[in-house]
Amino acid sequence: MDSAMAASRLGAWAPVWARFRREPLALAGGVFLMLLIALALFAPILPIRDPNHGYYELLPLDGRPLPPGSAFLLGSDANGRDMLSRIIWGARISLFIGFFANGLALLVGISIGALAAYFGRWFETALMRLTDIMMAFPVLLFSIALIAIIQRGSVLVIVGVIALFYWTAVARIVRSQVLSLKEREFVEAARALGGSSRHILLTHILPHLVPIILVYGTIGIATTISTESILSFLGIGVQPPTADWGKMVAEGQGFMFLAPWLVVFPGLMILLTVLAFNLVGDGLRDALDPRSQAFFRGAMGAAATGGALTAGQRPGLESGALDAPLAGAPTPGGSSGLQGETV
Amino acid sequence: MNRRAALILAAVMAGSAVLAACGNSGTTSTTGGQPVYGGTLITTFKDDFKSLDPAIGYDTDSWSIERALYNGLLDYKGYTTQLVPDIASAMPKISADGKTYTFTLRHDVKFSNGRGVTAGDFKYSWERMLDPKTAGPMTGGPFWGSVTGAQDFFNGKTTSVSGIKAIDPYTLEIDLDTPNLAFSNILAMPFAFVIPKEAVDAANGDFAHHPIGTGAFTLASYTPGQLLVLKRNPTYFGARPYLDEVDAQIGVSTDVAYLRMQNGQVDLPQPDVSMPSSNYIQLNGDPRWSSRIVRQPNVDIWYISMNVNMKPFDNVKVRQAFNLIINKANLVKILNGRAVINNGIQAPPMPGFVSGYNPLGLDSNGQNLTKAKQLLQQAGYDASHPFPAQDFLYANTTPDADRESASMQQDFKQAGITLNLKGLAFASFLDLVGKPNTVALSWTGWIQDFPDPSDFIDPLLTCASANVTANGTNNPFYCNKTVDQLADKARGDTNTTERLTLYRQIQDIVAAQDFPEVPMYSTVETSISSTRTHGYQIHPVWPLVLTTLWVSGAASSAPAASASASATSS
Repeated sequence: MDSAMAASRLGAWAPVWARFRREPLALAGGVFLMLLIALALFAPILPIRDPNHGYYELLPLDGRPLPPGSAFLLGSDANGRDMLSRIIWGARISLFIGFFANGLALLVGISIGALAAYFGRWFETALMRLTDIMMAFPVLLFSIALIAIIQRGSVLVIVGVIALFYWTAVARIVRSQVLSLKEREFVEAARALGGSSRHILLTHILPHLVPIILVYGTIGIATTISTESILSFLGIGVQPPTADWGKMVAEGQGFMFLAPWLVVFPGLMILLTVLAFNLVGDGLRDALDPRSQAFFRGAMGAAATGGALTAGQRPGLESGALDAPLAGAPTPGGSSGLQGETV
Repeated sequence: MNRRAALILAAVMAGSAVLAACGNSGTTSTTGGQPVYGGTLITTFKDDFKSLDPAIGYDTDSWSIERALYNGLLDYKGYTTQLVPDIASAMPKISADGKTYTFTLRHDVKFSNGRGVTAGDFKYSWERMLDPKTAGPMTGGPFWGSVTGAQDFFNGKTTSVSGIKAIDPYTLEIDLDTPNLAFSNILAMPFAFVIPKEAVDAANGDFAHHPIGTGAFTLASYTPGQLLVLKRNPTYFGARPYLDEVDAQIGVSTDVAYLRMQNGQVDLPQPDVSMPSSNYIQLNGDPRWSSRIVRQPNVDIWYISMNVNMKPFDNVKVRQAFNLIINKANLVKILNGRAVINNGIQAPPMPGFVSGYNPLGLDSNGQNLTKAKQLLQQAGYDASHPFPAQDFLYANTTPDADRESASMQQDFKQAGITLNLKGLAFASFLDLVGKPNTVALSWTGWIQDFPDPSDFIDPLLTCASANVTANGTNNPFYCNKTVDQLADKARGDTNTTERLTLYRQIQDIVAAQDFPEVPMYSTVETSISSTRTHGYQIHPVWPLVLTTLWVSGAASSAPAASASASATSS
């Protein structure tokens, strides 16, 4: 049974992929991210210079940074360090923080949102007010203050700080979904058969949240990476000499007119990476959303190629509630969940 | 005084001849046309001021403002190091044995609260400055320890310093136990500035934010972290300054300040710090600005302090090893060559400076890594007992300080030592390194308070300067009785040859035997001012002289909130 279930679940993603790959922008974003992840993973074995070593002997007497195309493909910074190496190694930091901070935020957000909605009453009130309080904090000010207290920024501190703030949006979306899901017949059936809360949440409700998690997780990484860059730019991120895009922009700003490549290359990488994650996230949302154009194109394509497509095999897509919370504007009174009931 | 981490330009390499030549050709002022009275000058500081209390502030930021607010008995003539009377009506009468100084005061000097200055005000100001309760840098006895009765006063045996005597309202006598050839210079330092007791009492312990003095300017407003406004003092006894107002914007990074200067919104970006290298290369290569750059060799030395009371630097072998690790040539390159390697404790133009001093046989980069590793091994550190990672404190006033620290971090990594870089605001940095047993490893600079070699010994390397509870300037907290004896002997020695020999002996003990610090380089200062600023020069002692500056036309309107807006990004 297990393997049969797995097969049918995997099969359910085939049409999603079929729709996704028809989105040229999303596909381009995906290809870019694959390349970036590969570069980041293999940075230690790539034939590139040590990103933290300053080749002062190569700098001219007045110490100005070397331009791209000279001894260094993308030029050097003012410490004689290889910009190319630093950008590749910087990708490791950005992606690591992007995935882990956002993963942590998702974990916390899903848990809090699902538990709040499922158990309701004072428990829900307490958790959701906590969410409201966290959303009201000015993230940057709080991060600066926190890191000033901790004294030393590090990758893990940044992961923690970002996760601390970015679980709130996920929690709200998950809550509205679970509010709807827990009234559905299959949950009622499971409860009638004597299923425990834990069983119902993990086995029956969680799978229906996967699409939301995917979409929100991808777009969330973009937010996380830009936040991390801002923190590093302000000097409260990773410690020197670690290469980090935000820090590279900060270090290069004095040389903006003299050696624009110090700012342009890392700035471009932040831009492209954030853009790519957003495009992929958008593409995923369209591919998973039954009401979007892409859905119909994909559905017909999938049907033509004989792909099975039934409502039961597309977890979480029944309600069409995906787009409302994802657009960042929950409908009043959590009605998006109730609408799902009537479909 | 404490020098900010920033920097510098010498045309080329080592050699005082080159520096001297550079000084002659480079020391130009940006004058032009007839001076105009009136107008507001806008200057910027990255960090807030440590203290505007003349008994406490001992750094280039604080002195920049103190110099405008207060006066002492003596001052320097123009942009030279020649002493001239200021509140004194004439140079002091010094007794034949060099132990008694008698001053007559001008009768027309008033505090900005309207009260006339008398000899008693000096006695009050100085005793307050020396009072351990004030916790200033002088309370342990550097410079002032030889004033008769000062030691008893420090120890709480007396409530007054017997050697400071107000003979009558306009006659002041100072008695010394032992002569000090630099004592007239010491009396020109801000520690000897006069302040009114009633204002100190009214400020209720916060005189630093409510300063009253006799100076050419008064403090009109001070919003810590944002803006300090000076207004011309109408009752000032000296020549009327040209400027009516000076706005010091606080919290402006040098990157932003130099952009604003090019837009005409700022006149003097971070005036007490040499131009950051990115700005220097850019503006020096721009014909519109290159002629406005002023240059002057600084009598300064930049060095790493190792706190001799803290592990692992209580081990002299470790301190010696640290002296062999830093690639000083890389630092000079980061400063665009606006510096020369210095392995001693005196700065180039100072009497007693030994050209090419290299007691440890360092290579041309200033290193000997093989020997360094041997010494670390002898000190008990090897692969199985790695050297503990060290926090490395510095003032991150300009991006150059970050870059230099990164360069040193790389050097130490090659010796198997991990440094955690901690760049701090200048005032926070000074707070930490001035406290005993607080900071093990830091780097900073020292620029002359006056042109005498004792200025690079007495406040930096004597037991008296280590004997403070806070705000100290002997960052290694180094204390060696032999050095103290030599310094005591040299201080009043009128035989110049013998005196300089004594200072060289001290240098050998410090830089070739005890190693409390790692000397690195001395700099050439470069500075620039906006096109509407006139008369701007680099003073050999004062970090900023406002009285001779004048401005033409109005500054482009800089948003008033701009200082605070950029505070978060600094």
